[in-house]
Amino acid sequence: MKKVILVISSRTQATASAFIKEFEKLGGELNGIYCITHPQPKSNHLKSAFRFLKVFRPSKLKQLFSAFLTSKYGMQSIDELKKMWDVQGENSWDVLEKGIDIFEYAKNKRIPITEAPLKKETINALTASGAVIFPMYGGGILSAKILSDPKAEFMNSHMGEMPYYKGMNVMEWAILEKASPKATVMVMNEKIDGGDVVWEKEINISYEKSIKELRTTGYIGCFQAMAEGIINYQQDSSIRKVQPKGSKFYYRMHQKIRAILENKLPLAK
Amino acid sequence: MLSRLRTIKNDRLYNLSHGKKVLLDNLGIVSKTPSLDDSLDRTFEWIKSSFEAGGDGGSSAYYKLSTGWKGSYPETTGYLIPTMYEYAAYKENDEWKKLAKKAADWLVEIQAPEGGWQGLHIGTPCDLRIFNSGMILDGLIAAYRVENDKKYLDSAVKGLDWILSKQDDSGFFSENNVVGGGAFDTLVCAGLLMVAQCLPEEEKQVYYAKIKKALDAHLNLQTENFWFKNCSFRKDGTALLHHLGYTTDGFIISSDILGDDKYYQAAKKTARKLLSKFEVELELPAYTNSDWSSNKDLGNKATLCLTGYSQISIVFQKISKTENDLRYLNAALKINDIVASIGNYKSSNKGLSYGLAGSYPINGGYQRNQMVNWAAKYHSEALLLSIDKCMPKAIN
Repeated sequence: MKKVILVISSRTQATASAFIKEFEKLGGELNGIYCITHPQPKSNHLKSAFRFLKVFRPSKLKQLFSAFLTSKYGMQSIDELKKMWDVQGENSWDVLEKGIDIFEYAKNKRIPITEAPLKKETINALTASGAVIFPMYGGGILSAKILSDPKAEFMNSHMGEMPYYKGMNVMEWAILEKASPKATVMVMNEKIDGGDVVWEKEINISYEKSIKELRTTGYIGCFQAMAEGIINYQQDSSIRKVQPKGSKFYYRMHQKIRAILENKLPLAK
Repeated sequence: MLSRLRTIKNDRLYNLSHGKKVLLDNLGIVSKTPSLDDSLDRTFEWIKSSFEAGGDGGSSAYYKLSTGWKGSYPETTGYLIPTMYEYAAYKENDEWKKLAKKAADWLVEIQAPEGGWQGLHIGTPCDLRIFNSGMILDGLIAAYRVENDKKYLDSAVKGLDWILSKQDDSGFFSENNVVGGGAFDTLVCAGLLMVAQCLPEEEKQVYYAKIKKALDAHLNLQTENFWFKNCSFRKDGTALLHHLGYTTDGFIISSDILGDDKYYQAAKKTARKLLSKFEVELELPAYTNSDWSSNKDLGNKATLCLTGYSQISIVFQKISKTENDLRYLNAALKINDIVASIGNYKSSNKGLSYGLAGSYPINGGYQRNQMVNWAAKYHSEALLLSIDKCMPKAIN
């Protein structure tokens, strides 16, 4: 059976903690934890001493001057305006409970921990004794080099049915379009949201009163789908399917459309 | 250094209102996003100033930092008319209806005996031009429908006949046209169809056949990746967003009038490219290369074409309504916010106050250092369209 090594980017990560909870509930067992580290560049003391000079860079001066003008005259930068669509406060790290200490958990369960930068060599070492499924809760978009190990399968979960709801805010878009929101577990490839599908699970929406509450439910659906998907895939790899044609990409929702959606909530009235 | 001083002198940047606008634009600072109604009212405040500047019934083409208000522009006064009527109806304000009628009367008055209208603005000698005349037809038909006065239709039919008399064998309008014509002439076709639509059936069908020939010829200017060739007044192989706006909207209007889906589908393919480019990069450059990459028109930067932005918002809203696809409406709302925030600039200088420049920043490559009336027209139209025409149907 394929091993499962959880990939995280910090030891108290809420998303990874939530996945562990769901995975354990179904009797899943982790064979390892790979915590991606980001080595700091060596400090240059001479450079540090003159760091204050950075403030005199033309770009920095321009930034400071712009900040002064926007605050004094009640204006905004064009970038601030664009950030309005990048709604804060609804990402997993905001809506989920604080995570457990994953290192402490691993120690108690005698699960080996690997701490290293995301490198092909590390992946190769982890797959040396056989095929590995990596549930990804860190690492971002993977390079072709990382993806090249034939014994490694990197899984992510997405809050939308594939290939019809790719991109951003897809659960909200699905609800607005009166489709059933679904979580999909995919084997990552070089395309964004383009990997083979191994599991799909409906997200049950009922009494959520805001988009924030919707997203909390959506994330839990994703963790459950990831746990179910991995356990089922370990037993039967034939469930892996290429995505059908007909991709549809969605983007960040404008506040007016968000408001329309929120007015429709809760769906179970 | 010398060239910078020359720019300050020529563009009168020593004038506080000019200098402040250029500075804020180049720092990327805009006003807070106004409500839709505020943005609409303020933009119309600028449009009113543009009519007052000419004083002849037409709207001044633009306010240029170096020389102030220009003469009235027949072409853009023409397509401002339907927007003014719509605004008058929305605000239940007859003042704008009267101003629209006055503009239409002015256009009838200055029509050449041949049937066309001059290019450029009043006070600048120029031949009769196909593209400019085509845009005027839209205004005359709006006046005919609202005022119920046949003189506007007669004038429009005269314009229609003159334009079609210039059509070449391949279907294009290369003679008497700006840069020998281009993809943007699909909006001329739309104007021609608007006129023909008002005529008796038999006559209408004869005109439709000729206009279809033109539309089919222009379809061939769409490339395999849905970009358009000959879609800029610049002859450097780039496409200007403003002209992509004309082209796609021209196809959509034509498809609607003719009931022929192929023109709509062509426009939609281009719009889909623009949608994904806008949403991924959160901006659309004024000029694109044939592979859709951004063309840098201000040093190492690609600036924005505000007119093009609003036109694309209109196209997105129309597609959203037709397809019931909220993704297009979503992008259109974002575009409207960007343009409304940039235009929400109050100044004691009427030429600048709540106007919209050709480029953002104002010193970008398209209509450099000018507040243009066609940007105000399309922004108003984009806002009017989003009020109640598109949103409820798309959402319910």
